[in-house]
Amino acid sequence: MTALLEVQDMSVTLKLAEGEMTAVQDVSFTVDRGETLGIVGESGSGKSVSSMAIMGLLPRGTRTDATTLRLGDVDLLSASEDEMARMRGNKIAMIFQEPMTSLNPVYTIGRQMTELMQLHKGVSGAQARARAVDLLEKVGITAAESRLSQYPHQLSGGLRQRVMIAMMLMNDPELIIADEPTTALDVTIQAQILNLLKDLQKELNIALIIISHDMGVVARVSDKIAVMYAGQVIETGPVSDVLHAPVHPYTQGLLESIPVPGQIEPGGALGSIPGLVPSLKTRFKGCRFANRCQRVHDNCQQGPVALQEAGSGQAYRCVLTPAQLRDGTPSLSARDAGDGSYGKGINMDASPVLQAIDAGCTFQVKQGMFSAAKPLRAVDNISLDLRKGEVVAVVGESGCGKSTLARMLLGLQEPTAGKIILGGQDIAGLSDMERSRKLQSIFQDPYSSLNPRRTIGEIIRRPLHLHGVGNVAEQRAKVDTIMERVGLPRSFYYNYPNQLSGGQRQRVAIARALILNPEIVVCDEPTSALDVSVQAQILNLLLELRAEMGLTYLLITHDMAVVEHIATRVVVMYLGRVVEVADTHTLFSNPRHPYTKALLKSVLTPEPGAGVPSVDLGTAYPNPINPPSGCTFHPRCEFASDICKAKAPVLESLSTTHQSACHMLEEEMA
Amino acid sequence: MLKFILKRLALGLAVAFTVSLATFLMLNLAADPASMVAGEDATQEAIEQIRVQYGFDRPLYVRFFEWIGQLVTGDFGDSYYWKQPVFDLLIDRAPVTLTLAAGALTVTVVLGLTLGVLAALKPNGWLDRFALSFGTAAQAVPNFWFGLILIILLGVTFPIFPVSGDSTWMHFVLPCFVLGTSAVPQVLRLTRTGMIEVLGSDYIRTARAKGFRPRQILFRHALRNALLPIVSVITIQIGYKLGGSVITESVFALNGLGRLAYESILGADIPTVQMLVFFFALVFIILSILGDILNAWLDPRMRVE
Amino acid sequence: MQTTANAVAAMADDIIDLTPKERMIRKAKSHLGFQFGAFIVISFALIAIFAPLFAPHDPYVQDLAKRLVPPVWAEGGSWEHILGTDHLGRDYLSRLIYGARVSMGVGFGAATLGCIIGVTIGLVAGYLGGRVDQAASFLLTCQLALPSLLLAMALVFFVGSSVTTLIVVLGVLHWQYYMVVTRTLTRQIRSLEYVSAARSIGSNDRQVLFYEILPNLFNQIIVVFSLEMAVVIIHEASLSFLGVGVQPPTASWGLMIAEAKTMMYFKPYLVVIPGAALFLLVLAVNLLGDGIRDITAPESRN
Repeated sequence: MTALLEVQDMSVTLKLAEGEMTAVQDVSFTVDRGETLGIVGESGSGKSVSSMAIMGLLPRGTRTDATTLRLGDVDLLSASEDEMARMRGNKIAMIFQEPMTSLNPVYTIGRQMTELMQLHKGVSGAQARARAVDLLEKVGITAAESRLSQYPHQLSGGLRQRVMIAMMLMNDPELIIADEPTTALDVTIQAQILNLLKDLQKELNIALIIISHDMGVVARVSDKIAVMYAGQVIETGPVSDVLHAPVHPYTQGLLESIPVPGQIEPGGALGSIPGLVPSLKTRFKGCRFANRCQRVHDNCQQGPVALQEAGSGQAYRCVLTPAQLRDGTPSLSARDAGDGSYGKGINMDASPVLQAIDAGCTFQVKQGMFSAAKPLRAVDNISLDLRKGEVVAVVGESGCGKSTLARMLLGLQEPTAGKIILGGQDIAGLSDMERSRKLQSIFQDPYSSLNPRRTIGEIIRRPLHLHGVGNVAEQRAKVDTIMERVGLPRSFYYNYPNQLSGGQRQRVAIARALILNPEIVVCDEPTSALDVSVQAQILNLLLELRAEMGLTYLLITHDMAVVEHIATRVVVMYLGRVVEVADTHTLFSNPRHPYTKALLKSVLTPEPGAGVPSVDLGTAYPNPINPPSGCTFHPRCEFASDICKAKAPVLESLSTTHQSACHMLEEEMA
Repeated sequence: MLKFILKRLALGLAVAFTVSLATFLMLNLAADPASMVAGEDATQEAIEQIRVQYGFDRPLYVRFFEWIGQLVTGDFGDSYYWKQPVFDLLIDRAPVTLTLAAGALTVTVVLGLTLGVLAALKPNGWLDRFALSFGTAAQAVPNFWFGLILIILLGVTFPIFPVSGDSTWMHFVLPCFVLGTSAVPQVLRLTRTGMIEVLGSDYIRTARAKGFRPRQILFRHALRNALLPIVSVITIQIGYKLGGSVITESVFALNGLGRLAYESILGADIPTVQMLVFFFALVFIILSILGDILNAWLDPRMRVE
Repeated sequence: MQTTANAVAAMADDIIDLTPKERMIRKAKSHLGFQFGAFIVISFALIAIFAPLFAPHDPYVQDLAKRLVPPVWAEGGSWEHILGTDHLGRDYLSRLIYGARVSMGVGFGAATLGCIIGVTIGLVAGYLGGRVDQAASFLLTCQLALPSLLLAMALVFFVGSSVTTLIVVLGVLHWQYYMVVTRTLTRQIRSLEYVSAARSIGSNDRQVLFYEILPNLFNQIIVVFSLEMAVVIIHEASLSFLGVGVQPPTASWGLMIAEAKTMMYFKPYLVVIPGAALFLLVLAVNLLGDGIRDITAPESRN
């Protein structure tokens, strides 16, 4: 029996001003009804381009070649544009990453859903509406009938993605391609959407392709996976085989670079792949991974490397044998969880180096051009202290106020209540110079944190210039030293930011933050814009520098896996308030607040076939302008009782290092 | 929605007041009004006499509020130069200018939108290049010169259109075309950019993934989104058309408000000039309010629940 | 994730590893509009500055015996007066060359004045935000409502026509575009992380404005400058054409067209020549502006 979708040796070539570029080369896979294929890869690996090639949606100037590209009995390669249009939205449906922008803002949900069915099936408007209502109910949307007349901007991101899924099911497609379907959503919503997709797929017997950069997502929902690198499938096979016994050095390295709670020593070095993903314009002679490979071999550059069988459907693209490649690599489970010594040497009785005392920040927000301003409590009465050597992580979903808290701690945002104390002095009374000598920051987006008009050297030297440290020659020498320390070639001094990769830019940002020898560094999502293998490099670098320079970190993040790996203490925020504080070990082994529990549950470690644990938080994250009464978490909490609606809980000490704000705990304590 | 309209009106009123103040101050401080009225060869005595006669000797703020009072009551005072009520002059001359503005706007919208949409269909294609070249050229042609060239070509060498006066619709063809093309580049570029942006957006990608053909995508999914920002530009353009009528009406000898303004300036007729400046500004303010309301009505995201 | 076209372009981006300057030079070399515009504008500027050297005759000397001599290519023309003479027998080419002075001078001067006003307001409004920004927006709305050409005509005529008056009046009435662009960009850049980074390494407001923000505005300001200069040049010509701009006997292209208007049916070249010069200059300035915009654009996505 042949599979529903068969892709054999597909290549996609782009025409550029400078010549041709092969974005995807010799990609092969099959997917059958009821089966899920996960395609995983870092940015630029060609995973999205492959899916667009199947849909026939690549822009002009691209060419798709393949020996076979077939869905059912339709040859997609030779199909005319008109035949392809009849397939799209009908036999093949696609779900995109950005639910916020993927629906047309000026038309109602109902119109966008029904037009799809009317286009392909020629049904009446009433029939299409009836089906739309059915499907909206199926994807778990309440009051489906009335939703039809709503516009996309009236729905939250999670709801829009549900609408998108329901819309794509209108014509009973045979194949659904989901390109990063949950990347733009909050972690607690991600589980809902993934489970919905899986359930529908089983029920309707659809073939599903999930494309993601997140190994956890792909591992848990796929039956088989394809790992892509630089435009090629570098390893493929049943998901448990590939994840438990990876053959290709890239797959091995990728898996080791993911911090998995409980499987790697906190504070220890992550496995990371040195170097950068090669440019696709490179004229590859042989293996595309050779320049970063630990097992590089004379044969690697001899010619194109074909996929080799490794038994039971697993295949890999390398010149060595599976036995050679597996030799000497520890398997995932063999890595240890550490002895718990990380973070133990910190003197918690010492006076704090940085402190927030009842700090709050309220913005006046205007919703419309002319409506009256309403208060938005971004940060509501938070107390927090950092002691020397700590790595304190502030975690929460988007909108919880963690970035505002970071800006307040940095002295960039004046608190509207309470105060921030740096080294015993109110930060408001310190000059820019005094403050910045002790306190530095690293930002999330390495593409916007460097001034595009300044060279790398100017950017790193700038703090020395502002603070008048030494003469130009001495400054230059310092820049050279720090560049070498963070792993930047000296030759980058005269380069501009646009010439560097994301990981390299983040190293520049780190160098700039550290050149003044600060005591404390506030890291705002330092790795969330980076690829997994690069994230590991940066996390390792941050940990090494902490040990060497005796730094204290305040880490702002939404990624619990990163937290578990590098934090010594964790602060969980929800709607501007702290709901739980504990040392990392306690928080992960014994979380007490229902929200912390949900956050931990939504961490998707790459466990093959484990499925996605359902995190049922009901409604979406509330709008901070209209926060719920009492405990702001109550509308989403399964344990909520009357008192939760009426009264906000206070932080209760459960032990010297563990506090949580929940009425259930208050009752327990009483 | 009602609240939005009311607030928009309040803002419009504030702008109108500020504009009237600015106009009054600029025109009355630019030169001594009494000597302007008296003329170049007037004696000092004659000037002083006029100063008292016309009330120029009173403080500036008194005269300003007197003018505001006139504006509110609809009695716009008398023209020094034309020796008749400014209001009558306005009523008398307005139809010509309004016809001109309407015709010019039609030219702008039809040419600008069509070329803009066509250009956006295939960026860098020959149509796009043609449209952009046309836009660049139209932007560089001085209005008055273009008018004269058209008069020489189509009025004299090939006498198809009458070249001066306003008695038939044929008289309006050339002036409308001249005034209309001057705004085409702006509308064209905006339509083109908006269209290209919309066609590259995520929701158009969704529409393609739904199996819609390019033509269906263009008319059913893209056009409305792309036209939203153009609505307000077009309302603003009507305002500029009125201001631009000064030149066109002079070139084609049309007896409209623009020509009235021109002649009043040369006649140092401050009341008429200041009334016309304010009138044009007021039309602009009203139009931009209408544009905003229209926009809010067309775009569901702007509708306030 | 962007659309696929962008993703593809983004992949192509990684390959480009030129400094911003190298990239600009490379783009300039293949941009015909920019080269043409730059060539014409520079030529006109040189002609304007060194007008006495280029002009074959004194542009003010009347020779009533040689009135309305046709240009060299027409019947009765001579190399003595390449572009012929006007109704007072003045050499047309010389007047054209001296006219460039007025156009370039008023264009450059008024655009500079507008630039100073607009960029200052835009920078302050965009950087400070809040009430200052609201006030600036209100000012902008008022300025947009005023019919600028009409007002310019009245003011220039009432104050008394001269090149200085023209520059001041046109400059004061043409700051909006600079302000909008500066304000929008300043707001955008202010929210970027490199400004936060600059603050956290200890930069004060002045250092952030002048070291981090302003250098990133330069290109766009130059683009606006050229487009506004084109507008101002046309406005000066229009005003002079209507008799409220530059006064005779000064040579201005607008004035030359006005003087030729009565003779345009039988001596059309008197209208065509100065108009063509005006068209060419404005076209070149526009092309130069568009060219600078294309060349300095971060990355063209199509």
